[in-house]
Amino acid sequence: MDDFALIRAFHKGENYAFDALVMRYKDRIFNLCLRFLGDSHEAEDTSQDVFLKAFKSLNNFRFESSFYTWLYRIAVNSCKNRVKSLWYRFRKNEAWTENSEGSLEGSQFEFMAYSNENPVASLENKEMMNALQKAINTLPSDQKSVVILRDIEGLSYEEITDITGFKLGTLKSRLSRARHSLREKLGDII
Amino acid sequence: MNSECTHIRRLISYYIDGDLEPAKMAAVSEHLLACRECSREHDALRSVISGLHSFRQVKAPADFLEGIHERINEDSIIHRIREALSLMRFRIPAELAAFAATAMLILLIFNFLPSGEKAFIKRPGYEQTKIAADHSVLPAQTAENNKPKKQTSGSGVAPQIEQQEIPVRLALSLKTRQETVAIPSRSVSYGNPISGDISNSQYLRQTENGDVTREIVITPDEVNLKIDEIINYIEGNVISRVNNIENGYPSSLTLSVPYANYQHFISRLDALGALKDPVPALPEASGDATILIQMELYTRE
Repeated sequence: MDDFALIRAFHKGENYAFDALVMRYKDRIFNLCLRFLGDSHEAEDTSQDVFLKAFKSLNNFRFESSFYTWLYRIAVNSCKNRVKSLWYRFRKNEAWTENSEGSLEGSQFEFMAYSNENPVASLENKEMMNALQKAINTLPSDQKSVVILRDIEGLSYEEITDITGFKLGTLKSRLSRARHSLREKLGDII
Repeated sequence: MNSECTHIRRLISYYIDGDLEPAKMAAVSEHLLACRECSREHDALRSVISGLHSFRQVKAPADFLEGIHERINEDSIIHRIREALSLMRFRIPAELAAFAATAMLILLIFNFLPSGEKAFIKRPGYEQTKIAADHSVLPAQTAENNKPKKQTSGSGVAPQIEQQEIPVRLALSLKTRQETVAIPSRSVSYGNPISGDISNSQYLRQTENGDVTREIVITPDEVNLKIDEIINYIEGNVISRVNNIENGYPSSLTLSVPYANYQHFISRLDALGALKDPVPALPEASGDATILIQMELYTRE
């Protein structure tokens, strides 16, 4: 059953349809939040918040855009709001410096690239991915959303303009700035 | 760094995406061949993008859906309290304030009860139906299934229905070398194994027009991981996998894919340029059908 059929079923009061949409998109939304916020606890909380907002708004869904770009738009806005929140800033400043359970280093959510290389190369790769995530954490929200949607999630420019509301030229220049900024922050690691 | 370098570096990100006019693409290429510093920047930026591409997809926690059910229920309680406050402010006379406060207190206490004990106040008709991770078991939207669902004897699992299986045969052509990357001849060390910062799995060779290119071997494990990544993404299940005894690359694969995700799967394979033959058209089927795919995989260099 495609997304629109599930939404129509939800409109008719079939709540299983919402659960099906959650199951279909939970990993992608969780990953988006994880890359955006750089913290697994924050990502879980925020991605659940995304689906709660979707649940409350789904009756107003007008089938004018695809469900997932609509959901991604909620997710990007939720992540931006979370970054602005005092609680997030507090955790970022206090907890992350102590490598807490929710932070990415040493947790089950460690960033690793696929690699079958020798252990030394694999470790270097892991360090590189952790460094890359830390660099992403420092980007301004607009640049962060663009680079995550394009280079990590692999969405098209058209989809990203639909999600973010940026004009195409603005989107491309933000993507370029974000990539250069990441390259500068990574310095000699690259 | 001169002004030309500054200008070129602003274009590198667009150049990597192939998002420049042909004349500008050529100008950047020419500059990169001549300028070692800009070439290094180009390589570094490519590495950043490549790193971003290789972030692993992490699965959401196993109890994610249950957490959302909890949030929906909590939100419902908060909504009721707000309604109660609104009533207090505008409608309830002062002598009933104590009664309203007591009612709110009960609601607050109720909020901290275990979820099982407060199930009766959920959104009307919101059965806490748990759906298996493979949503291909979802019931189809038929007149029969549009009837209110009956809770199965406490298990909370969506009712199983007979699934339609559609067999499909695909042939894939696997790349075992990554796309070649032009690097300026001045920074090249020839020979194999290669000295410098280039690992043993990378090879340098000279093309017909004199450019030097770099190739990276994609190993059998990397190919298998990439395939798993795609299958995981489209919520498919591997039924069997056979690897070629000689080179270790996968040679045949049987998997099941939810009908709704089949086109997604084909798009991903198409984007990788892996489809060897035209894709067979699918017959009309209900959304809960499963596509049983038998794939033959061939390696190419």
